[in-house]
Amino acid sequence: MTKELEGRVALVTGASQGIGQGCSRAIAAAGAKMFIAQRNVENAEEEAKYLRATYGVEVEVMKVDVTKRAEVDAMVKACVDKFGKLDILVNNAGASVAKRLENTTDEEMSYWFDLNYFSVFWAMRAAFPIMKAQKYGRIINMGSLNGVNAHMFTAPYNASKEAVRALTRTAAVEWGAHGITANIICPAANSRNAEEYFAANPEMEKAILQQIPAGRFGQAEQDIGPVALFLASAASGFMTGNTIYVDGGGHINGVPWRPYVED
Amino acid sequence: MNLNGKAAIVTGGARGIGKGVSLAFAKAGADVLIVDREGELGRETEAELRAIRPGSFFLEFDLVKHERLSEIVDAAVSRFGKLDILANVAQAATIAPILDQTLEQAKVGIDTGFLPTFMLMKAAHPHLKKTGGNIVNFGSGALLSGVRDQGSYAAAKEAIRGLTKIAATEWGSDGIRVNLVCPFAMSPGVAAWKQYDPAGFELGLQRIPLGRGGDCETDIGEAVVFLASDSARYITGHTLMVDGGQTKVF
Repeated sequence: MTKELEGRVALVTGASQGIGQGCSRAIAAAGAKMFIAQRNVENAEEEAKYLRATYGVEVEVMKVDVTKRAEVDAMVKACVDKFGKLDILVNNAGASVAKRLENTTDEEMSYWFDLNYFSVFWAMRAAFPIMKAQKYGRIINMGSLNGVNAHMFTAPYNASKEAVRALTRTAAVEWGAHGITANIICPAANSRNAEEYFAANPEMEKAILQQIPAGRFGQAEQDIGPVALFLASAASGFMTGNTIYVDGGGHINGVPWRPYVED
Repeated sequence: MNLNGKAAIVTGGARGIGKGVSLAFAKAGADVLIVDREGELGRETEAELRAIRPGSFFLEFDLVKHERLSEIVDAAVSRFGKLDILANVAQAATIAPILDQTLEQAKVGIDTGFLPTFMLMKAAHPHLKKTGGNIVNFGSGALLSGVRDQGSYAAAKEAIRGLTKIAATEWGSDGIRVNLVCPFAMSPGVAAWKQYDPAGFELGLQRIPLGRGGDCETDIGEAVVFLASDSARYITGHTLMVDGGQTKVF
């Protein structure tokens, strides 16, 4: 039986852990050739070995700092040079930190926008020509309930993630005629960082769990990955500009996450 | 096969979106009970479904018989032995300016769409709890926009959306997911619009980023298969737009 994404090429940033790993593995399992890019190239190489051994797909690895436009441009070019095409672009790399808005410096705001927003803009712009020529593209960006619901103390993250959503929806409207869809996943899944945080803050873990109808936290591979696979495949061809909440229902009433901040 | 061995009920399954969803479910491996008040069309669709999944069948039923709706769930469970998916597609509507609608006309959307959804969800609950099943309700782009003449229709759809979110919250601990799909497809209704107002239809198409109406089976049905399948196991209380990118809110 042919795998769903056989013959397709996917580029995923930050594929060696968390949500990126979950999405990347689901897409690789469906037979796509993989191009994975991130700062920590040793971890990326480890993950590449796993993907090749487990799914039998070709995997190319590149060390990329997505906060640098030249490196993002080079990343997309290297993928197209290596594989001759780029069908699926998963802009997963991103992060946040907790700090009061009024204490946020220009440099901090600028950095978080480079990491979470400009990286995505640059990658999408670089990928457009090949996707347009192919008359086929699947762009999958990551949003966050932090941004949608304006969680306290993560203003740069919130703003940059909402900016990504607007960017994605605009691309959906402008690029739809070229057979390119662009959608957002708002995921909620456990990660090493989240697990460490909850171990240190059991009351917060309990409070958040109570607001999740599914009664559990997500697992990147089992819960988020299959949604990324759906968005990467032909079956989602009539969906674009959408925000998909993959969070066990947490978005319905919001999630009471509130990090500790210094005064 | 994403729905291999699953048992599903699809209301409004005789034609249009309901038919598209039923066919997609069957091709994904599910046995389907389709429910509709259109007897002839229902039997035609039943034959098409049986060619794919011989266990599928049609029940002619008018969903405004609110107090008897549990009979539909009983029929499915007695035939299939269980229930995994409930898809509430059926919906009739009065399309007219608010000022022109009588009380009876205003009730149509609620009586044919919202209340059947509500009562079928209740009847299905114990069976879905046993299987860890899910419910897919149907909204419309109309509930987000403010298109003229859709006053009582949009209200019924928003009612279904509200119900969907609360059910997701209340039944999450029962292992039941509840979601909403808002499709835009070349259903009989939309096809009629194209026929009677081709210029208006073309103008409408221009506002759709993907430049076309959806195919009931390959566009809408496939998305509903995803939502009803294990791939969407961590999605509940969600409004999934399957409308070629038209959505203006969100």
